Amino acid sequence: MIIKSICKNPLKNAIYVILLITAFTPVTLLLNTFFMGQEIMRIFAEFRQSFTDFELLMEYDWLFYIQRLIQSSISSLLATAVLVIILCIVVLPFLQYMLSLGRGYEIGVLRALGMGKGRAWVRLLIENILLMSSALVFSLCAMLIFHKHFAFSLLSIDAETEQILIETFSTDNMFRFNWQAFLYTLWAAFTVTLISSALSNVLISNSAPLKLIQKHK
Amino acid sequence: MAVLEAKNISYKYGKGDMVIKNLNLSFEAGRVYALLGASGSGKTTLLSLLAGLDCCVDGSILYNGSDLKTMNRDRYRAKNIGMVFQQFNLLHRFNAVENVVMAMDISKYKVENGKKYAADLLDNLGIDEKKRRRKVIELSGGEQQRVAIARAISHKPKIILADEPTGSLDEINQSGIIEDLVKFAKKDGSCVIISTHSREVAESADEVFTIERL
Repeated sequence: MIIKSICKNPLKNAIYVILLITAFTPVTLLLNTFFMGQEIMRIFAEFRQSFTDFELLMEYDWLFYIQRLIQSSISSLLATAVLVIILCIVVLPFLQYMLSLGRGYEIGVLRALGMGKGRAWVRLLIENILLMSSALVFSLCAMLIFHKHFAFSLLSIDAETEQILIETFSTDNMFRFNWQAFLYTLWAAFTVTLISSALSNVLISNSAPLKLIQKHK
Repeated sequence: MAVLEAKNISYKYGKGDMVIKNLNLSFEAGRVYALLGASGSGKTTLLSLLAGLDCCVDGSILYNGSDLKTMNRDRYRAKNIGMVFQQFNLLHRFNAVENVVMAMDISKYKVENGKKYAADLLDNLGIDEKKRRRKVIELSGGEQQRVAIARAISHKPKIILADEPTGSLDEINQSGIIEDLVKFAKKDGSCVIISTHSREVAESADEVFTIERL
């Protein structure tokens, strides 16, 4: 259905994709840079510290640090890949619906049926406030659930289980995945996309809804 | 007595040229009128003015003798106007019954069981139960236009404005749509104003006004 819809209106869909990328790219980049950059800086600081001491340099576990670097890069890349998949499957049709002839068209129809301008606008605003609120609540919940300390306290996990979980996600684990970077990236990009779609919906609908019925012809 | 009158009305978009100039028309209840004219002659603009979607720059439009400029035009439209568009302009995320009920809600038209009333209306127009449950976007053009007609007549308005109602339909559907529109509107004693560029459609009207491009 999605593919059919994309094939039907390639130009319109290309615009949506550009809008989506515009919305989530800065956040993904910023967060990836932040988390990856932090990791790289830490590795670099440790490396510089060991470089001042020849003995330490000889003992330096190069393989371990290269692995850490690769792991961080992979987690960021995976985060972006998953984001693109989520956006294409979940958010794109949703955004398409939001923007497709948009609520401006709907307001135009309702106005033609005799709904007052104020009532039609309040209806649009309430829908968008609900949308933005749900996006915020969703993203906050996601953040709370995935942030291990918050999650542990919220779920009342005992100390022993907490320790096992911390060890599972420990930095000493060579094959660890940078879950925090991944989830924060996911959360932030998803929130920004939803909010920007809601805002753009309001802005698009602001363009003379009454005239849209005629333009639609 | 005229239910709707256009008295010496003129209209232009922004600072552009006049689209309508010193037009006088009178419409009576229970009759069908056709506004016949080529594209760009101002038929849609005239319907927008009659619906109270816009105001004429000069002259006045009278509904039962009252000037639309002095009335609450949203209420006027909700209570007294039913609109049918060339592109149907239904609410795509709702099904046929919900589209009809929405118009009844906006006009505050009271019946005992709104959904049943809407379903019966749609049934009379050939939209069976299976189709009534579908989202309107999944219906054919002819079926969507029948839903639009049901929506327009659902609250028994005094005036039905149809803007090129057969413009998006094939020949087989065209005659059926006009017949249905006229039959149901006349049953309720509504005044029907159809804008069209088709002489065949115009022939089904009691009176034809030819509009020429300025």
